[in-house]
Amino acid sequence: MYKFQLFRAALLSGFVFWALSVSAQQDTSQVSLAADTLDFYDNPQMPDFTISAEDLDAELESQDISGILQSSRDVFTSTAGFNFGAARFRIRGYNSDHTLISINGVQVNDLETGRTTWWRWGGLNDVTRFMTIRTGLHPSRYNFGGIGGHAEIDARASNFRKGTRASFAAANRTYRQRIMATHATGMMDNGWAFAVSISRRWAQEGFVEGTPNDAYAYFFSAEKKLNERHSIGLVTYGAPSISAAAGLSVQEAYDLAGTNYYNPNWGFQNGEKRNARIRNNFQPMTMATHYYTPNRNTKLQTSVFYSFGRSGFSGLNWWDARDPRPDFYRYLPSFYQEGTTEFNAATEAWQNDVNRRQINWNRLYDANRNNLFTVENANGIEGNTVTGMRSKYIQDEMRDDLTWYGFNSVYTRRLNDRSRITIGGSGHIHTTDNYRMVKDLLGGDFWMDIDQFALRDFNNPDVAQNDLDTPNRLVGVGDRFGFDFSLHTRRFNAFSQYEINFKKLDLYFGADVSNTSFWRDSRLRNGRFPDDSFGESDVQNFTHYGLKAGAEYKITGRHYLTGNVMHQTRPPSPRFSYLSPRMRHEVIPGLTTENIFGGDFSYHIRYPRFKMRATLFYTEINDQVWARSFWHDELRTLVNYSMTGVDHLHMGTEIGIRANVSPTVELNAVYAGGQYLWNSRPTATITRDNAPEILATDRTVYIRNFRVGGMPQTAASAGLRYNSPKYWFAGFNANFFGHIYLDPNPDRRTSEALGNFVTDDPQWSALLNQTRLDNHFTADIFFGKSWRVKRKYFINVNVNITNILDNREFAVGGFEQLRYDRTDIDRFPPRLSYLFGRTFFAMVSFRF
Amino acid sequence: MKTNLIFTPLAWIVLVIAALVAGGCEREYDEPPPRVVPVGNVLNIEELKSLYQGQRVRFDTAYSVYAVVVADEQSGNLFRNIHVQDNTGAIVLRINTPGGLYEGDSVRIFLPGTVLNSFQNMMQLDSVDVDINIVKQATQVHVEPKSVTLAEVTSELQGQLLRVEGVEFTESDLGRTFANAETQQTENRTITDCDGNTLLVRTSGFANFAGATVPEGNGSIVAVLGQFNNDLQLFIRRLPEVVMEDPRCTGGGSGGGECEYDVNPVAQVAQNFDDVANDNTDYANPNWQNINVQGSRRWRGRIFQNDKYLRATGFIGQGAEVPPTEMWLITPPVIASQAPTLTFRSAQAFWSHDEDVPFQVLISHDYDGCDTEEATWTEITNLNRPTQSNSNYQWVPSGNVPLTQYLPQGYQGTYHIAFKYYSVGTQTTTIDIDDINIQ
Repeated sequence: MYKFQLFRAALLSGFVFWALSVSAQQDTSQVSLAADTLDFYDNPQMPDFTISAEDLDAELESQDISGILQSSRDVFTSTAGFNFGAARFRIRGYNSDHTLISINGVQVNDLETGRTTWWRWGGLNDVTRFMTIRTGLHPSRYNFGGIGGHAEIDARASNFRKGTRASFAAANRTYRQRIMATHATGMMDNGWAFAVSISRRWAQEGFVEGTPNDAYAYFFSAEKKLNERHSIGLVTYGAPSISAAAGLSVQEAYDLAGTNYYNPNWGFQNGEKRNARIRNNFQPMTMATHYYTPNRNTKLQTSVFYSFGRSGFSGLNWWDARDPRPDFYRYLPSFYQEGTTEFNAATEAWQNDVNRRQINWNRLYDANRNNLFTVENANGIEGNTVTGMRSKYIQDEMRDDLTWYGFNSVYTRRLNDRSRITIGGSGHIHTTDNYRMVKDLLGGDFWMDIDQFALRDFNNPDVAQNDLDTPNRLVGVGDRFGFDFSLHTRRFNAFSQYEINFKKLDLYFGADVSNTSFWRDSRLRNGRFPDDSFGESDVQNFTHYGLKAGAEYKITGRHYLTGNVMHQTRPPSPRFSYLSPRMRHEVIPGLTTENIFGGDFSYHIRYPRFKMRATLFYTEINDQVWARSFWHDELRTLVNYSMTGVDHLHMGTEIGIRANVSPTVELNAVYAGGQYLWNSRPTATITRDNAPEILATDRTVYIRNFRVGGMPQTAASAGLRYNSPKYWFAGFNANFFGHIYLDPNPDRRTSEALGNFVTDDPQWSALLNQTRLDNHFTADIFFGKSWRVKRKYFINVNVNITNILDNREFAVGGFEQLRYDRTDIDRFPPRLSYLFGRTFFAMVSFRF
Repeated sequence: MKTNLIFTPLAWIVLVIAALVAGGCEREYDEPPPRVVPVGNVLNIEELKSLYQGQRVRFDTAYSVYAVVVADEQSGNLFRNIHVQDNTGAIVLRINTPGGLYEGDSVRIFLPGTVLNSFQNMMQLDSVDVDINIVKQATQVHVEPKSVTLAEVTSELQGQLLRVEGVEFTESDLGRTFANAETQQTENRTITDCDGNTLLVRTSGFANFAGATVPEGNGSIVAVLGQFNNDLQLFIRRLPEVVMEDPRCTGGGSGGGECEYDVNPVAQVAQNFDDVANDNTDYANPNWQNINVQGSRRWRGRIFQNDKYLRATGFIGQGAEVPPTEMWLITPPVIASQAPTLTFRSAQAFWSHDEDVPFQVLISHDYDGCDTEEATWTEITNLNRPTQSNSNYQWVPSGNVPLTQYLPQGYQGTYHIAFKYYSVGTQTTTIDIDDINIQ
């Protein structure tokens, strides 16, 4: 028994470090955004592939062959999640909005984007480890799920393993140190159970220069057992975090700076590194849950929840002044002809002058302190003349602050030995306050809230006002400006699932129906759209549904076939439905529900020493809308570019194998080969950003069969792990990533962009060809050891080293800039992000 | 079982609160100390401009110039060009990146890093970085534009803010916009006074008034004076500063076309054009009229090996077709003598006229000094003019041309003689004239 415990501890610790390291890698996706896209469009984050030690135990002990659908230990998912995460691999190429995450049954995907927002509970690894995760199509007793699967985090206090765990970790990734402590009482004799976890992760500077981070997290769960049938629980958690972002730049800048981890977001101020792009998030959540178990076969779990808080992302803003971002294309040598004096001077400055290569904060202060300016009729008051230092540069913060409450209820009942029914419903009332706030005037006295482009384009000072009701408004630190609106979203959902098991065949059917409505409510009347910007907009209302079914056929107790199909309609994401949400009520023309059709087919082998899964999948995600804002060089104005009829096709193969060639040696191999394609020719509409003027309609975008970008479409890994009977383990993985593309800039793929170029012109293919990134190999090693002290304390040490070969040339993602010069495509080259070089994560943990 | 105090829930709650208090704070950065910009030697604009001696001057020592911004980029008409002036003159600042300087800003320009240069005859201070080279002293300093007549507008006033009185847009520009707002092309318009003096008004297609139609009346225009080679150009700051609501001086019948021609009659003319100031600039002499009847060109002064004379040409480029170009040089009123005679010399170059005649000499005794069309002009034919057979630039004396036959019997009043040049299509022969004598 003692040996078994230790063995289990070793295994456990292995998974713990693995889970932790995956979550540490999550942070690499904190990237800055191009100026030419709305900041909303953050890179989606990957689901955190975490399985629990509990599940591992269950599998070792389980004899129930129909348990496969409930077990979350999957040979493909676990290895892929661990080895591919850093390269931005996404299972089946899906965005995270296709995977539903729930905590105590409450869906916690962002309601406006559908995306998972891991930062809301980041650092609570000891809590999220106890997660049920299923990728792909499966039955779920928590909700209808998405085409990408679902994950449920169980936050019930009595379900936490009793005991205490404390750990300290050192790393050189986004964070340098982490401390974490967790304690759970288990269900005590007095009917109470408590679980608490806190952590702090921080770094003076992460792997990338100029990226300090500091993140705290807390979790508290209490449960009171009222009687055998009723329990009530209270859960509250939050993760206040402040992190400086690494920005994506162009290859020219990386080459000049001599590193692919060049970060344009920081600069020296008084000799200290200061980063302009800071995320400051804290959206705590509190929920009360009622657990009702009237009998062995029936369970009703009802939660009410409330969440609120801030989400802020700061950046530089400027008015009638030079672009302060050091890698603006006009500051790069390539803006000049090679060999000219200007070219050489820019090269020299970039290579040798840190104040050219990075933000020159002192210069921004100097400029602001010297910009004596007189505003007449300030703040809309006739004759109110204000003279002072008007900031040309400020640091502002884009906020979307949350208020979210609702309920969720799930009822599940085993009807008989063979069948089970699950019924659930939920309601979500979700509001975000979106605004820009002055964070730092950088030495100036005030900022004036007018739009620079509008002032120049229209010979009418009213048009330039962002707040027409208070013209020439002067704002200071803490004031909102630019835009200030609420986006209200309501969703009500009901779902049901029926499962039935036969001797060789298990079947399930599921259905759900939802209603989603959303509208905009602006507190500012914008001078460009005086009649279409203020107050409440029309309500957009969509009713949508999903149907799914699946079967599992047991050829023998060791061989299974599974197949699943799903059809789902989804509303457009509220956040992406408006042409220019900051300015006006107008929605994208042709806004409609998305249509999803998907299915997968798998063959599973499960011997004690050999496990395999091979899956074919095929999914169409049709009728999507797409909208961005950017500077259009041909039309010479800032435009809102929207597309309708955007279809994606995701198809491919997943194979995972794990073989225990001896009691101590385990081999694993996974392969994911997909084709994730743009599957239609969308229709684009271009409108002016600052006037109700349609610049182009029915523009056909020729991107059918372009690859969906931002992830390796092919990934493979093989690894070996040695588990010593002496309570240590070590192993390595070798990984391959291929078919990495950047999403196409749609406007480059139109006949309008081609203009009168002919196929022989170099611009022809330069405009049309999709950006493809190189294939790469990486390798990782890991080892760990555990001790048991005085028969009751466990000490584990785990180390893993990722990218041990220090491959610093591996561009894992980025984007094609939307701004483009049709005659010279290299003027606005893609912005790229690189896999971190060799990094380590080392942890010592203590458990009793 | 003994409970360890550290792990009671209460202790954990305290820890949570402690974590919350510790978190959520962003660090404050020290503000850098204010930059001190030294003053150094102070120059006025005239002194600054005088440092230019045909070579660009890059400043690296501490000099400062105090000036006031009289025209900025806000309307989009001027891009990265800021006109500043003091009481000794004006200069254009070429700023590295747009923005940051506004009309009425009283500034100190700290010169190190900037470059003094003449761009196509326009004096400018280049490479001005507003964040580094400019120290603002005050705002809303109002500079009154200098009032001038069109005839007084010379390159001496380069860069300055002017109010030109008594002008109107030429007939051919009426109905047109200041520039092409659609294609954002910069375009030229021409204003004229009642004496036929003309000046270009140049407007950027990016100006927010580019699409406005030019006014039709006569009045005043406030603008800064630019120069491109020999063309003087006015740049408007904003539309309300073009006030042209009075009746036009020409355009007959509108009733207001009162002729204000007050050139004193002369008994004789001896014009060898020694008053030509600059080579290849429009000849300007308050007593002589130099009118562009069609097109924008006028007779230009030439200086060649110490000889000064006038030249007319429609030539714009090899093989290029030119629009009808007609320019007249008109003498002051001459009091008829007993037996008036005319002598002059003229030359041709690159003869390309076939159907039309490049050069004619006309006489009128009823010209009022304002309206050439209303007057009766008679061509003087008994004289020698260069023809295709003359070699290029070979002076041809006219001979003594008696004028009696062109004037009424016993006429004692005044008359004018006009030297008319005409060019169209590829007929762009160059004509020079010199040494006009009338007795």
